[in-house]
Amino acid sequence: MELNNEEIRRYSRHLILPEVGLAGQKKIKGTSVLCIGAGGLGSPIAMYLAAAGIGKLGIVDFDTVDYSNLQRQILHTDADVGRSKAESAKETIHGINPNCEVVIHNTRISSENALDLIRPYDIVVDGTDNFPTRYLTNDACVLLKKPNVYGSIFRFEGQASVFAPHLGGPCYRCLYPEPPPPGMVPSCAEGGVLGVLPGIIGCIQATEILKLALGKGTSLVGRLVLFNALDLKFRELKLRRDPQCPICGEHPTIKELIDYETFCGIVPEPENVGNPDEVTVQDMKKALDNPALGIKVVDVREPDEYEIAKVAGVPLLPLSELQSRFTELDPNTQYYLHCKAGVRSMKALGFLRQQGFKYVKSVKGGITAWSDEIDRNVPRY
Amino acid sequence: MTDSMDSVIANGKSVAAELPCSLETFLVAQNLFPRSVVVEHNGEAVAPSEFPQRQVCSGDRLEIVKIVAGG
Repeated sequence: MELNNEEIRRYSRHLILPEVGLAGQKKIKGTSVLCIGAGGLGSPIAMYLAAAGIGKLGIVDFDTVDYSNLQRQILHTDADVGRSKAESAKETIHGINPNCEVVIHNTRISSENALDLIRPYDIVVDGTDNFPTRYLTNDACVLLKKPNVYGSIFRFEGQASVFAPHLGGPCYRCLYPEPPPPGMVPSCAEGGVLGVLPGIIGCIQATEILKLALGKGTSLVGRLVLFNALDLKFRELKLRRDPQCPICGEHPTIKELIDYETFCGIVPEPENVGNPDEVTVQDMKKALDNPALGIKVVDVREPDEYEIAKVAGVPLLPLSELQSRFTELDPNTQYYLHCKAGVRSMKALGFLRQQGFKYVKSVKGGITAWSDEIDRNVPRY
Repeated sequence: MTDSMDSVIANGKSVAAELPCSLETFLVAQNLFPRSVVVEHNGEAVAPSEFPQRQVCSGDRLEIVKIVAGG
């Protein structure tokens, strides 16, 4: 592994660091990294690793760029909206450093392909956005003995670590043996995220990768770094391997990849079979257009969201206030509840049923579906 | 009946609880999912499988981190 004159000039600020030097830069060039996810975390990770001279960068993402990604996913630009994230990432990375070999995997990582995707790489970095993929990434890395550089974010807080049981540290399951029940932990799409936050956490992940490549410094193996952007505070927790861990413990019960959707309690929605508790946005429109039907529509989102986008004539009763304010509703009236995408309205429905409301339905897809299918003037957020 | 509620310092804040109790019981009482949090107890890492046996006493320091998945 040699460096040409252009590379020597490009990496000069590395080369003069005694901890890197020519030998270290060659190690960086000789390292291959698989970045799972080309979103908020994947963006700074891929861009900094490419700039730093990582030799080969694999990018796994099946998604396309959406306007709502651009506030934080700096791999992608306004002109990339609608394009494959993997393709867009490749173009950006090439623009930063054409010496970096980029291999794109425009596919959803799954139990069927994960081992084959990961096997050719030295280091894996987890920039995914959901529990099934995080457990899948962890398990595949444990089985293949690959370091898994972990980061995750939500609202103003983030966390990062390096999982590597083969290096003596814990794995993701040693920390979190099971995910919470579906719907109990909101995603960034539901709860929001400060745009800069993945930049900070992703840069911590990129730093750890470079340290692993160089074999320098004290890695995050066995430590969890936590960052709070509102307080601008870092803290750190010690971690340990769990001898009872189902995959890296003393008596592992997971010896091959499993069905991660089922593990995370996600039940696939049967196609073409309607949920009797749900109505469509078309039904909601009928109810609003025909007051004589006696159906009332209620928005259960939070006031900040109501300010961003609302359907004319639909009153607000936030889910967070429902417990104290449900008496404002009549248990014998028929209600259609809507939220942003249909999750919280289903929770509100469950609560009202317990209070004796018989005629409550949840609007499938919420105001997002309303915007897509009924009125494009209602902004999507 | 037992004596009055005691408290621990969780993430820097005083939290009242019926103590002593197991770490598992404490977490459930705080509406947390014990399988989905990382805990440091008096500066020591605790593996999730130890939560049911680990005793939490008044004045103990806990650092608790909830799982998040965003990326």
